[in-house]
Amino acid sequence: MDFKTAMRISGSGLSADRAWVGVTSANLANAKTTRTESGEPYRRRTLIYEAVPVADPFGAELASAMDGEVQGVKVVEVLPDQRQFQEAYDPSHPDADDNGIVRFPNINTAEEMANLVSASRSYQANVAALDTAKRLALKAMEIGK
Amino acid sequence: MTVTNPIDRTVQLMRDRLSLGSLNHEVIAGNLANMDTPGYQARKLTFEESLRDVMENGGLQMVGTNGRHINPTDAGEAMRAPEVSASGPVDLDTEMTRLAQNSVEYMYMVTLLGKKLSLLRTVIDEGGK
Repeated sequence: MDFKTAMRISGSGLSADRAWVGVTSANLANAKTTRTESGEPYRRRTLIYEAVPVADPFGAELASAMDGEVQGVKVVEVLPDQRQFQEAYDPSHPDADDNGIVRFPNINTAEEMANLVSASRSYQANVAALDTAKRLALKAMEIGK
Repeated sequence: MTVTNPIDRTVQLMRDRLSLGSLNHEVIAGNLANMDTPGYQARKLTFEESLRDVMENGGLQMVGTNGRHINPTDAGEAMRAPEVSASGPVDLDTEMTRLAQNSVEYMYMVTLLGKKLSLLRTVIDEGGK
C-alpha cells in the first residue's frame, strides 16, 4: 500500500499500451502485404489484455484485504484476426490467382488508426497516473518540514 | 492509541487519511491500466460515506478512557476498513477526475499535517521559555 505499487500498476499499463501501439503499427505497415512465410497475405494481429495482480517482491508484508482487488494489466497473447482477407480484382498483380483476384490482408486502415488513437489516449492516462503518484510521493516528503 | 499521546488523534486521523489517499491512488491507477481490458470492472474505494457518517454522529468528540464508557464510535475505524467495490466498466473521465481529486486531497492533507506538526513544535520550543 504505497506509491511504488501504484507506479508498478501504471507501468504495467504503459507497457501494455506500448505493445498495443506496436501491434497496431505492424498492422498498418502491413496493410497491403500479400506475401508472408505461410504463403497467405499478412493476417491482422490483435492482442489480449488481462488484469493481473501486481507482482510485488515484498508482497507478504502488504498482504491485506485489498489483495487481488487492485490489479495491473498484462498482454497475455497476440492473436491473429480470423476475419476474411480482402479480395480485389487486379490481374496485373504478381500475386493474382488465375481469375485475377488478389487477396489482401484483413486490415482496415481507419480501424487501425482509431485503435492507435485509443492506445495513445490510454498511454497518456497511465502517464498522468504515474506522474501523480510521483508528485504525491514527493509531497509526502514534505511532512514535518 | 492512548488519549494521553501528545500527538493527538487529529494527527492519527490525518495519517490514516494519507494512507487511504495512496491506496485510493492505487485503485485509480489499476482502473486506468485496465481501461482496455475486456470484462474488467472498475474498482472504487468507499470510505468517505462511512467516514462522514461517523463524523456527523459526533465520533470525534467522544473518547473512551474507561471500559465503562459507552462505546465511542471511532472515526479512524471507518478509514481503517475501506471497501473496494466494483462499479461497471472503466470510465476515463471519471477516473481522471478521481485522480485529480485524490491528488489535491492528498496534498491538502500533507500541508495540514505539516501545520499541525509545526504547532506542536512551537509548543515544544516556546513552551518552557
